Parts: sequence; C-alpha cells; structure tokens
Amino acid sequence: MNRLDLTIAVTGITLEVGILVLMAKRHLYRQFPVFASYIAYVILQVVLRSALLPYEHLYFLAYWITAPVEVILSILAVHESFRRVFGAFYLVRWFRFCFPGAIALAMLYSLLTGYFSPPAHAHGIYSAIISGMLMAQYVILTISIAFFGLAKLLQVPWRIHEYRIVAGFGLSSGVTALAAGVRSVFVTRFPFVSNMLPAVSYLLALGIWLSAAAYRLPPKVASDGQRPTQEDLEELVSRLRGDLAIVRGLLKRR
Amino acid sequence: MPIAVLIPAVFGIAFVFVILLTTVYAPRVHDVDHVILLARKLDPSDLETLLDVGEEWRLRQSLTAAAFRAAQEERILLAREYLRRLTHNTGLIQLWVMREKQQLEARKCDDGAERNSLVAEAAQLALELKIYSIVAGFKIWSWVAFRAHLWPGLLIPGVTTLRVQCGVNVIDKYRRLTGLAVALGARHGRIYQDRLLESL
Repeated sequence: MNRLDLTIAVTGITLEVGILVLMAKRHLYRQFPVFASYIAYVILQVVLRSALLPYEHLYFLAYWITAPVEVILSILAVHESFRRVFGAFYLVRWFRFCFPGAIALAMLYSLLTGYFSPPAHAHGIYSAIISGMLMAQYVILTISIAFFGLAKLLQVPWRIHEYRIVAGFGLSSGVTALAAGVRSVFVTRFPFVSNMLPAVSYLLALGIWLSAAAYRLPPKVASDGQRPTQEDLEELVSRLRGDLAIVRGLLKRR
Repeated sequence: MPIAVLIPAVFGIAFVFVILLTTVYAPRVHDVDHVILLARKLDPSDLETLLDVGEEWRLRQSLTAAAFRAAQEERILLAREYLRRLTHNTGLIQLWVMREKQQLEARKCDDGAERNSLVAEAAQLALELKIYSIVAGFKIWSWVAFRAHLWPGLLIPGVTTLRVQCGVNVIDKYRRLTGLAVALGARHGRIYQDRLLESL
C-alpha cells in the first residue's frame, strides 16, 4: 500500500465515521436504516480487511465474502431512498413486482453468465461475483437515473437527504462501471482511470453523503409525521420552562 | 469506441443529464396568484358524472350500437380533456405547495405545524394524481390511437374504468387536493380562498 492509497483509505474511513456520527446525532438512522447499515458495514469491512492484510489467504477469503454483501446493501440503500420519495408508485400493483423483479433478474443473469462462462483460468464463483458486482453498478446507476428522471417528470419537491444519497451512489457506480470498461478494453493503459478514479469518486460520494447527513431540516418540518426527537423535546421543555418563568414573574409582580 | 466503454459512458452522460435537469433546470415554484390565474376549471362533479358506472350502463342499454359508439367516442375525448385539466391543475398546486414548503423551511410563518401537515398531504396527493394521470393518459391515448369506440360491442372500453387506476380514486383524491389548496389559500386571506374556489 503506497502513500496515496493510505491517504485515500484514511480519508475514506474518516468520512464514513463522520457520516455515521452525524446520522446518529440527527437520528437519521431511523429514516434511513439500510443506508446507515451500509455505512457501518463498510467501516467494519475496511477494519477487517486491514487487519487481515498480512495474511494473504485470509484476506483473499474475507474479500470475496464481504464484497457481495456490500453490493447488496448498496442496492438496498438506493432502493430505500427511491421508495421514500416514490412510495406512491408502489400503489401500482405491477410496479411492486416488476421493479424488484427486474433488478433480481438482471443480477441473476449476470451471476449465471459469470458462473457458467468464466474467463480462462478463472474460477466460476469468483467470475460470478465480479460479474454480479459489475451488474450491480449498472443497477444502481439505472435506479439513480430513474430517480432523478421521475423527480423531474413528476416535479417532486427537493428532498435533500434522499437526493444526495442517490446522487452519491450514482456517481460512485457510474465511475466504477466506466473504470471497469476501460480496464477490460485498454488493460493497464490508463492506470488512473481504471485504478484511482473509482476511489476518488467514492470519496466524492462520501462527501456528498456527509453533506446530506450534516443537513438538518427545520424542526417544524422534521417533526412532521414522525415522533419528535429527544432534542426537539428538550428544546420544547426548555422553551416551556422559560415561558412559565415569565408568567410566574408577572404573577409575583401583581 | 469499444462497447465496453461506450455503455458506461452513455449511462454516465444520462446520469449527469438528469442531475442537471433536476438541479439547474429545476421547476420554478410559484405563488397562489399563479394558481388562481392559470387554473383550468374542473368541477369534480362533472368528472364523477362522466365516470359513473350506472350512467355508462344506461347508455349501453338504451342506445343503438352505432349511437353508443358515437357517444363513447365523445366520452373518451371528454375524459381526455378532463384529464388534461386535472394534470394541469395538479401541477400548478404542486408548484405552489413547493413554494409553501420552502417558506416553511425558512420559518417565515407562525402557523407552521398545521400548514406543514397540509403541505405534506397536498404534495403526496399531487404525486399520486400525477402517477394516476400518466397511467390514465396512456390508457386514453391507446383508446384514441386504436379507435377503441369502433371495436365490436362488448370490447368497447368503459370510460368508468378510469375512475380507479393504480389504486388511486381520481375523484376522491382530486376533491381532497382542491380542498387542501383552498384551506391553504385561506391562510392568505378570505379573498384568496374565494378566488381559488372559483378557479379550481
């Protein structure tokens, strides 16, 4: 691991911890449980992989076991934001089955293709995982395009958290897919695009998610339709105490 | 350019394009005056009469086949016109509601909690009605394109099927949306409430 890789890894984990802390502070994990799980999982994954780095065989196993889970969680996290904004679409009966069905079919197709026709000297299972991971990037990108396209078509009011979460995933997936394409065609000709760009785009995505987690809705809007948070209640109680003190002061004067 | 690079590039361009559309070319919100000025009159009772099952059954029974086909063509075109008005008015209310939401977020009002619940419900209803209008619009378009009123007797589609699409009862939802719009308008003054009632 060179200095640049180390810098990217440290920046990444710092941003991820920051996102998780802000989500906990703003109680956003209640609204976005899958996204919070994804971030927590990614942190654990980085810690585990870093710990196993000296043990080649164990690292190899850990990588191939943890990578598919990360991909599944990322798809679910994008879907979570999609569902929060376009929940009304799930009133359409066929959409309820077609949307997840199309995702599942695409994933199944890529897994089977990877498994049954692996490249020369490659194991079927690893080929299936790589194929599935690549397809997952396209699935996420397609959901992101559909998300923003529908938001424009239906003039959905701007929703900071959902929009930024989806934009982050879309950006990261788009660049990862492009890097995979460049690597498969040009092999090692453009090392920055195929090796570094996905990491840089992921850092950018983390920045976008951090800005989403840092954004705080005004209490009146945030408390709508949800249980008030502890902070809201404390603020309310302190305000009531202040008002009561004023009333008591007035009564004493009389 | 090889296809392995072309496909992600096309996806990437599409992604950047939709992001630009939703951010740089975001819909321009407007105020209640725009709704009053630009709304197209649509009485939910008229829509209810058009989508009444009993009325359609009566027409089928009492008219000759040729007369029913002619009546059904007119009813389909009328449904299309009502749907256009509904979509237009829903869009106007939605953009106004977005403005109200922005004002709430900027804490420019005192009765925020109540207005917020009205705004949230109106935004949700507008979204459901927009989804309805896409599905219903496609259905009406196919009827007009394939001249469905000329199909043999029983195959002539019933306009009444438009009443509920994708779980959305259009009359109930539209009535509720206009009710909410009038309630929100009342917060701008009695005159606005009356003018909204007249225009919607």
